[in-house]
Amino acid sequence: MKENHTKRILKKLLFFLPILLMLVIVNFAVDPSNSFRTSDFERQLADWINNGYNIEGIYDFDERIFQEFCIEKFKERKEVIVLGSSRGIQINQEMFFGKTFFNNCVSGASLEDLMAVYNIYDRCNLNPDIIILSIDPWMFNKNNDQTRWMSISDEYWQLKNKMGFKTALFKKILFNKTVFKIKKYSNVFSISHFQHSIHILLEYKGLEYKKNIIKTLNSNGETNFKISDGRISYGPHITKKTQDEIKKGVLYEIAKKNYFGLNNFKKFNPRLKNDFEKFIEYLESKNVKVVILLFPYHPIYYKSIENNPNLNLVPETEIYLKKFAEENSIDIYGSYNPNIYDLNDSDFYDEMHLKKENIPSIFKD
Amino acid sequence: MLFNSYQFFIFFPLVVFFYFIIPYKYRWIFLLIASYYFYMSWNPAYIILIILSTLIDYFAGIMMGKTAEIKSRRKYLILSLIANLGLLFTFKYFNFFNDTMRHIFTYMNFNYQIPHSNLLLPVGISFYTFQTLSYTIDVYKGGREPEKHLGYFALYVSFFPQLVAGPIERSTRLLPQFYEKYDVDYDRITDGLKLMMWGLFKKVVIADRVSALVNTVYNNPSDFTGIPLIIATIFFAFQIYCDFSGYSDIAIGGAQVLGFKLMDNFNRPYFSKSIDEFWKRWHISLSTWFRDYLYITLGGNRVSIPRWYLNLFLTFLISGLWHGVNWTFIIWGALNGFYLLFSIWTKHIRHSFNEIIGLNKRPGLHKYIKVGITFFLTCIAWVIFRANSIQDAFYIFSHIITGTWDLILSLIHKEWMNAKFLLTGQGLGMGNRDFILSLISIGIMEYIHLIQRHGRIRHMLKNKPVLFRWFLYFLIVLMILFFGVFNKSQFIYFQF
Repeated sequence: MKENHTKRILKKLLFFLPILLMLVIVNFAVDPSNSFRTSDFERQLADWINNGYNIEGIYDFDERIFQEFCIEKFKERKEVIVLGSSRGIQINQEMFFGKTFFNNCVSGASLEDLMAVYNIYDRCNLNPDIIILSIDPWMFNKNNDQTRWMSISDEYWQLKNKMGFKTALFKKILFNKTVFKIKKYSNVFSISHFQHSIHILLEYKGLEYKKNIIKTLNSNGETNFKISDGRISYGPHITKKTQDEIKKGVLYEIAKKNYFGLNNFKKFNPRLKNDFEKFIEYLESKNVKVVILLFPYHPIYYKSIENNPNLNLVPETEIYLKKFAEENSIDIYGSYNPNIYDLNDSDFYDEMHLKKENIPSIFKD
Repeated sequence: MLFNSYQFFIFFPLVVFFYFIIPYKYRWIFLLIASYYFYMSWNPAYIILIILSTLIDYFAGIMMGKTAEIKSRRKYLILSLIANLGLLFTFKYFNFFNDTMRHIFTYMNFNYQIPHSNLLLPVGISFYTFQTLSYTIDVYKGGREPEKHLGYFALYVSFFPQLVAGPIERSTRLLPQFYEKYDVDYDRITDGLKLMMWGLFKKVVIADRVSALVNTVYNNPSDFTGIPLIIATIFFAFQIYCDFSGYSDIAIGGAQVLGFKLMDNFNRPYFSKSIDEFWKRWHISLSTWFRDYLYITLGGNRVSIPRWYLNLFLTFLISGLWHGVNWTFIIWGALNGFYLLFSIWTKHIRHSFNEIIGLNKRPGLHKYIKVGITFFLTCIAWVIFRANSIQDAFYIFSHIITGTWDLILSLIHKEWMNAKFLLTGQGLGMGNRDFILSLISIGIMEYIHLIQRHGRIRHMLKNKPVLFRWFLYFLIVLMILFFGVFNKSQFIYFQF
């Protein structure tokens, strides 16, 4: 009797198998986060960039592996580089006229990303003269949910080793890469991926969107561009938003309580703080000049951060960084607080990203 | 882990699988470990609080069972009360009372030194402390014998489907069930799964979708006036219902899969014809807890009339305080208490009025009017519940009226741009598609509630053709798949 019940239940659950298959097949075929491709795609993008081309129609790809392929194949040493998140990804060659430059910022960068990408330079003996570190407050939050660094986790652990941390290198790398792979491949069951995939299929009427990525010498158009100096040039869907649309978007993010990387930011993680300080020490030992850059938030977004008792570590992160910079004679520019620079709604693309033309204003002091 | 998370989608089937293959006598151990693991996924350290509460109340129960002397039994009851309410006060209420005292002392120009506490609020503390208190109070009153099996008692306190947000179960209902043996039963398990699916639909398709609009408006009410405030309030009424009843459905369905029967926590509350009826249909496990352990203890209605009124009012006031540490919750509780008292005071007047206007002769119309008025009054109370401050609540009340009047004037004078602005403000945080989807899914839910007045929908479905049933199951699953909001949103009642 018991077996009959179990068999009946399992048989009935099998009726839902077509739905599960649909989920898996759509996620695999559309693959909006490029979880199931090989790295050949990133390798090709890196080749285009290193040959002086820009990339039109750029969408989701593994930015970390892309950085690795780019740096390994650089034709010349870069005198100035930028490491950070998408908030720094618009810093460009024109701001450093006369110097060779590359922007190595990656979306949602955690501190591990900065260290991992730097290690690629270090092991390739391509240490720059100046590194601009765009530091975001979530880099000190162990609950920031950022795990994309794990695709180049070996770089991070190698740098930690070089910095003097005793660590079981092989085990850590294997663990991180395994966790990363599990997270990547589990996307095949992800409902949010499925919804994104359906959205792509409806918008592009099929899988044609993947053919829209081309190498070009143009630097702007209808989509986002990855420029040969490593920065992103946003398309009109971002740059031409009205102030109303931007404000709506910001209010929406606040309504969703979506403070990127800042959930459960209850304390400075000691390991991350130590990593940061030792990282700076290591850079200085390599005669690299460090410049710390803090990007402001949208005024309404920052006000909601200030008023949220769960996010009081954001201004405290700034205080800590400024104090650290002063004690170690490091140049530091910018602030998370937009009011210091009289920035308003129209100076931002969204809640976190300053418009390209306003970036010089935060260097002015 | 949240019920609408991938971790739970993996955790629950694994628990069910191993639960049914483990021999009966070891199942409680497995369930207890699973329940502790479930709780520790929030914050591992706070398992200590549950274990502490468990041990104190188990001890208190055993000691009360050893003596019939009221004085001795009372001291163990007091121990349990102090321990559980002490935990609740320390982690939940300390800062609220501390800040209030600070304001008073500052106002009187006195120095106030007691610092703010940085203790995090443990998830579910308001629920499991009340659950264990109900046990010790029942043992004290002689309503049940003390539970001798520590393991079963620990499981009663920490049973994962209802640990973090109820239903708040009574020991007389849940504890005996741990002694029963449950096998795989097709009807029971499939019914439980259907209930879980329905709860998930309410949570991810309705509650999490409308929350974007509610949060946009309620977090910045001064950006809106009139209709948006009304829409946000009505949406909040459905958000909190779908969020909380969705959680309860998943909890009850999940427990049912394992063989356990938990109490119903919601019974179509927005079809209530009075506030009194609303509180018999909304968060039933909490309202009955307050009725049995506070209201009746205070004397209930077996006292003088003024004292009865006071008992009612106090019960609702404290219920408001249970819900949160903000004056808005206390005022919300008081308002509900006032509603109840007002309905008692005006019962005869209303009956006479209905007779005069002939409403008593039209029971159908009368019923709809009563449902409408009850929903309206509930929504007024929800404004206070959801508002971030009393000032925001006042703003919303005043601007619902003035804004709606301005809109009417704009429409009369054909000032379309102004009318559009008054309707949508700076944007309601929700696109047209999501707005329409919200309305459709709320409509589907309420239609199902309408049908439910004839009986449990799951039983009614059994009599329908198999194709029709499977069409409905697939429809719900596909709606969850295509329209569910999956971005790590917590359940509202977790903050309690």
